[in-house]
Amino acid sequence: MEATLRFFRHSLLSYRALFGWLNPKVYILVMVLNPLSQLLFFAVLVNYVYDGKGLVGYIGANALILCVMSSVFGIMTIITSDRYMGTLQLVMASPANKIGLFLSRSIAHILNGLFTSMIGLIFGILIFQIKIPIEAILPLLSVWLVSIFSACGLGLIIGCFCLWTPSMNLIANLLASSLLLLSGANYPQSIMPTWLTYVADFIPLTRGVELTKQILNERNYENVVPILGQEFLLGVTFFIISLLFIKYAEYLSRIKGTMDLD
Amino acid sequence: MNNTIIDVSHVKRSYKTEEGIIKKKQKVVEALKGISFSVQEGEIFGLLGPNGAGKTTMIKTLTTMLTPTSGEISVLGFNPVTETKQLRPHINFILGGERNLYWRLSAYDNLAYFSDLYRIPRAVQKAKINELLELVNLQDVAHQRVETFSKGMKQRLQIARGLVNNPKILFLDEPSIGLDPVSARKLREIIRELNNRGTTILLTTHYMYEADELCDRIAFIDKGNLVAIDTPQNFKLKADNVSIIAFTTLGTSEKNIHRLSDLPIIHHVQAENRGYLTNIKLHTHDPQTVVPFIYETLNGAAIQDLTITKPSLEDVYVELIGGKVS
Repeated sequence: MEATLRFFRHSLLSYRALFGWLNPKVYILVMVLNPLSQLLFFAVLVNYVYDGKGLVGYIGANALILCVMSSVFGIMTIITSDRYMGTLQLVMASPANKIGLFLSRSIAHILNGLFTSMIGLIFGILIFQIKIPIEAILPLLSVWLVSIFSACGLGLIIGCFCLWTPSMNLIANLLASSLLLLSGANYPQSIMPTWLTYVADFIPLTRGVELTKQILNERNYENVVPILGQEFLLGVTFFIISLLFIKYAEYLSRIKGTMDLD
Repeated sequence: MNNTIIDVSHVKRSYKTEEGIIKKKQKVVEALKGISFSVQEGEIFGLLGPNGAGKTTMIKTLTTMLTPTSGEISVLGFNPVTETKQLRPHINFILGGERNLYWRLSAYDNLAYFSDLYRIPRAVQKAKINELLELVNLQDVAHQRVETFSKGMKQRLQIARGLVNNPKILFLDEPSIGLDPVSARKLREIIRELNNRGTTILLTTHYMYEADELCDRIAFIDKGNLVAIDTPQNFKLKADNVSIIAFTTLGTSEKNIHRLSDLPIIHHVQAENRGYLTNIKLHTHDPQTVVPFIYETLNGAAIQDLTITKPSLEDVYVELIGGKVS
């Protein structure tokens, strides 16, 4: 019980300590208004292009994509802020279990991503007067939660790069654009070049976007469990890779002395 | 009875760096060149040396953050290379400067955060954090964000952070760097109080006064080598037959200052330029002979405030580390 409480306490405290956008003005601008303007732009565009066909699905998919603010930019701060503040070496040299620690730090960003996506969906419902059946809410939330978990895993891998390069924003922006491009949030995946669909299979949110469209447009819940299982495995793989990166950075700093975590 | 708590034997640490983009040249820098010393339980042990001497590398090696290239280390009977899990709960370290804290959190939350990292049960944390805040005199600002703190307050909070796990050994890397005299004195009082409570302390510092006042024993290190190790009193006793001649001169050439070092009975010449004036300190066993030599050598230059004193720890340090002229 003590360990569980510590896990969630660390999640909350590290979120407050490391996430730089918690000032209410900055939070509303960056985490609410900026994503909503993105959603509005793409919703208007797809409404025009497809003449309203499948609009609910596209709005849902674009709302999910908004989680990128948390799952890429937010989660990066787990490592970048810690290093900037000079606390990363203190954390690494503490007796805390590092796997549990970084997972705990990710929780707040997963929930934040879910919050941003839900705000986006509510905004879409209000602006475009669309309706979502009650029975779709629980499957949709499950899909989003797992997809955002998976996206956070990839975000953490990118965050690890800050241990090697100072040009983090370039990489993060590239990842955010790639997720928007490859997930198929604004067009059917079938119109993408085949080789790009193969790439899309290995990035997070692709399956989440597909399931969101199936749930909202077709009321089809059949694929939720198997596809969500794949997305979860992908997320677990990303988290394992990121934790290996962190371990490698610790090895370089401690054993080889070629890296300073400060 | 003495109980060795840290044992360092022939420790070397080298860093490999690369130069060049296409034709990469590997360069090996030896930060520690075979250092040996031991620290007894309950001691305040000082590591002194100039920038780049290897002090921080030594502290990082003792606190599991860096592994030695060769040599043996034992801290509390554990090997910091292979037994990190056993060692880390019993030690803690404080690095100088204002960083190493979460500025967006309050002082209380910073301590709660690090208490969690050290797996201190919540029930223990509450009393412990209040006790630590009181120790470092921050109880009135416990719930204020650290970003509103002065440098001294941040440094004191760092001390509290380093004590969340009741460490048996506390490592302090230049804890008073950049502090004003009042804050530095407060910090020294806290360090002494901790030591009185039984915490063994290993500290690095540039400030000789601090080392002289606090340390039971001091090791001077320079360029990765251990130059000397003893108590501050013994260091000063060894230099007891040395006199320090200090004076200020106006209009002296650098050549003349170098000529002073030609006299074999002058062990060390220390010169500090302050605008038109130069402050000079000479270390010698024979001040009677040296004083006329000064007037002769600096022929024509104004000499004022000439004093002959016994050496301080700083003078011993300068003589050990500084070579003939510094």
